[in-house]
Amino acid sequence: MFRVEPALMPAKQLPVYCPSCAGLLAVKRLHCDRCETEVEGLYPLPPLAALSLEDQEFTLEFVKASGSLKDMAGLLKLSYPTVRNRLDDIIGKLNKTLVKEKR
Amino acid sequence: MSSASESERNLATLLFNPFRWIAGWQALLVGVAAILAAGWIGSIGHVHFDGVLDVHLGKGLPLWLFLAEGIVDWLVLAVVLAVVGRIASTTRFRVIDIVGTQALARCPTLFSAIILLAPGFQRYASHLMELMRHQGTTVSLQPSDSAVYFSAIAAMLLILVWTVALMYRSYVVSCNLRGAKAAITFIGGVLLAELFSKIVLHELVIKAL
Repeated sequence: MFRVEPALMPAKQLPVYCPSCAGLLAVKRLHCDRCETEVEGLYPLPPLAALSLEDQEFTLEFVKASGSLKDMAGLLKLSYPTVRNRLDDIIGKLNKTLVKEKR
Repeated sequence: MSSASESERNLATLLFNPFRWIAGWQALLVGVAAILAAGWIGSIGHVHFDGVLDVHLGKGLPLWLFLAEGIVDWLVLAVVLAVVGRIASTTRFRVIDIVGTQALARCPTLFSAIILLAPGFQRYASHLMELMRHQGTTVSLQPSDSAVYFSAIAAMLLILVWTVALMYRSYVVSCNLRGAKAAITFIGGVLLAELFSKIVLHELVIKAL
């Protein structure tokens, strides 16, 4: 049987929207891997969690680069406006999520 | 990080959207060098870039005018698109990106200048011009000249389409515009720039004569 090596498997994408009504999901249960404690409640997901893994990675690198688009362009080997447009897209997605959250 | 997929280059993107990787001062330097080279080669074959989208065979005028034509075409379009983009775009952008990428977008004009140097093209074009002036033809044509002439015209049209595609991509990437808004404002900007460039170049030609 074909088996994907764990290192090659993509990280799991956190489900953010309800598959039934497309509303924003919330966290109901949290689990500690070390002591098996479980916490139950109702916690809203942070808006950043609504981004795709790629966008989250971009945001993380952007913060690590002290918010420098120039450094990000060098890191990604892309032009400055391409990187800035990507950031604008992410800002647009975050704004959409925030608007959905407010409803 | 997705840098590998982000920077993955294929020929189509390289030809029609090099601005994904190059913009700003880098694009400006390469673009201006190409514009000046096209002007210099144009001066040898009397090829005038006398408008944002124009290529014509004309008189042999001073070298500075051939060089100025390319610079005027580029700067006028870049300034008009920067103004139009500022109005149409909701995000802030750097003027150096639109100015630089517009310079780079004019690189294909270098190929036009080289193609129109072909002796067969020059002979057939002179022959046609003499016929139009009703002077009676003095040019001795070679059998392949008409084929060379029409092939060069076809190549020039393709190069023009390529150039316009690059100009559009430069505008879209630099100003972060998409869809109908990008297309309409680009067409309006090009038409406006064509008009302005004609006025400026007309003044320059008067000075040169």
